[in-house]
Amino acid sequence: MIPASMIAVIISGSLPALFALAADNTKTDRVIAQSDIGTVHYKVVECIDPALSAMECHAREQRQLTRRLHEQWITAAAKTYAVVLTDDEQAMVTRELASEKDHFAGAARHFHALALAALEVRRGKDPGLVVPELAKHGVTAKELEWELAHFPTIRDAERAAAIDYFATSEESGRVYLTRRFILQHLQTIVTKRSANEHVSFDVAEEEFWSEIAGAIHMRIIDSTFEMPEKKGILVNP
Amino acid sequence: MRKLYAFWLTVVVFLVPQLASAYCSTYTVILSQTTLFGDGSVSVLITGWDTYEVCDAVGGGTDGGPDGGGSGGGTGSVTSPIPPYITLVNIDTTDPYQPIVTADVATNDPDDPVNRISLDVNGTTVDSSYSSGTPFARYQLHLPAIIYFPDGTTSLTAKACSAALVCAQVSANMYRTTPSPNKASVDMFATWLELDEAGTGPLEGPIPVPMSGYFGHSLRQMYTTTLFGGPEVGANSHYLIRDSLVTVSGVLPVPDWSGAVRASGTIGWWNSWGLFTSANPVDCTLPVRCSSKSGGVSGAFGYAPSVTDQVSAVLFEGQPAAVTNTSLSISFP
Repeated sequence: MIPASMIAVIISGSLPALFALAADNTKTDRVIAQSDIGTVHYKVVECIDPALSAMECHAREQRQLTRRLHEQWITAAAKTYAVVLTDDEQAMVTRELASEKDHFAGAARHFHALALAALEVRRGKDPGLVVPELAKHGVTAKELEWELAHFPTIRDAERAAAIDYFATSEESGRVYLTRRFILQHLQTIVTKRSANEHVSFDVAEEEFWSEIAGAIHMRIIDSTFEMPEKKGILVNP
Repeated sequence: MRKLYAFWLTVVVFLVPQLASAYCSTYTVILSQTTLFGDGSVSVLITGWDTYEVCDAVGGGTDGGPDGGGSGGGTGSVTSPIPPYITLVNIDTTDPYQPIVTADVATNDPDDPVNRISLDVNGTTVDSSYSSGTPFARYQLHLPAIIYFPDGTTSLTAKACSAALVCAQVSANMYRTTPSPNKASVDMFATWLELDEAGTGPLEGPIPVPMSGYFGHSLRQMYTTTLFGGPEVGANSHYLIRDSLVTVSGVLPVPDWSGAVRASGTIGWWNSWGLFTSANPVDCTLPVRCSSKSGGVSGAFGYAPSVTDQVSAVLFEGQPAAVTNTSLSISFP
């Protein structure tokens, strides 16, 4: 539980940014990377955290891009090598998913409260009145700041508030838990390649992902970003 | 006949150290008679001498006896003083900032009663008291706060001495150790929002998309133990809670978070503390990324304390998040 004094500090430190964001609806998209699987769009992210330098902000964007590109590589690799979960693995995913049901319900309440608060702000409610209400649900001013920054219009906020966060959260859990097993299968494939080709696992993994990225014609459109390193994804699946 | 002008007796005392007994002193008393005559002549007559030995060690002492010789006989002997008795009752660490050493002291020699009681730490006196004057008494001597003692063995000695500096003493050791931190860990399951620019639906446009994953959450709690090689009461200095190091780790986005630790069963002034950005433990190597915070307070003592951390206000690279297992506890012992 956050002490009341801390909440006061957060509120006082964030309110000017919240008001600024409430009036800002001029963000545009850009395409950063492209492949046969799809494009990776990014909003022109102006760092909303004043504590981050421009370099740190760019590093954060690069990490987010890296994760999205890795997602595409993993999807493509699973398809290429026809990786599917065994019955035991599938059962384990189902069990783990069930054990996290309360978590997904809590996450859904959290995100829904956040989306509704942002919608209220977009409809004209004073953010200074919204933040204390959100704090009762464990939602921080910084989270509202993010929501307002990324859903700058009433229409955007309505779309965010209409999402079934329980279903989408649970689905994200299913994807994650399934992906862990897919990564283990891919790790086995790369381990065999490493042994057959008498190269280190690192080298074999780099070759593996280079092939996958090449096969789906992945390329970086925005030169301010870099293609992620093609290793380390299978080290700790 | 010479005229007798003056006559007096002289007693001369020689102090003769005896190498064979470091705690004993030997006294030789020479009795002489000096006569001054009218013609200026002086006559000195040694009438006798006696030797005495006085020892200040327990069980020491040898009756000095007549040592014969000379022209006169011995005049008697002095019994060496009997040392006092001291025993350690306990070391009271109910308040580790004002620990008390209690000792019972008894005078064994009515002619040489206990005069002063003192407490030494590694040979240096840290507290002392004059005797109450009664043959038997209980004394309380103050140790410095436990927090000021370094790790290792410290000798504590309670000493009772008589006016003649005949002393008795009793010792106990204090042992302080700072072992490797206690560690607890748990998997946190997190779901956070990311922006999907190409969101679809009845109202097309960007939408928040939940992402999920496991993260590591560990609490390393540093501490120091203090034990005594003697009777102890209170025992609140058994554990001194030191800095806490909390680490959130994973191969997914690095979380930003706030942290605090609460201690139970401690008697320090503070029982909770905030955590601030800190160096990561050595097991944080890519692809695992860590975010660590540490903090602590000085002097959180307790007999069997416990600490609980709380990870809160989690954001994944600025993105909203909901997280489970945000709290970990470690109990001592």
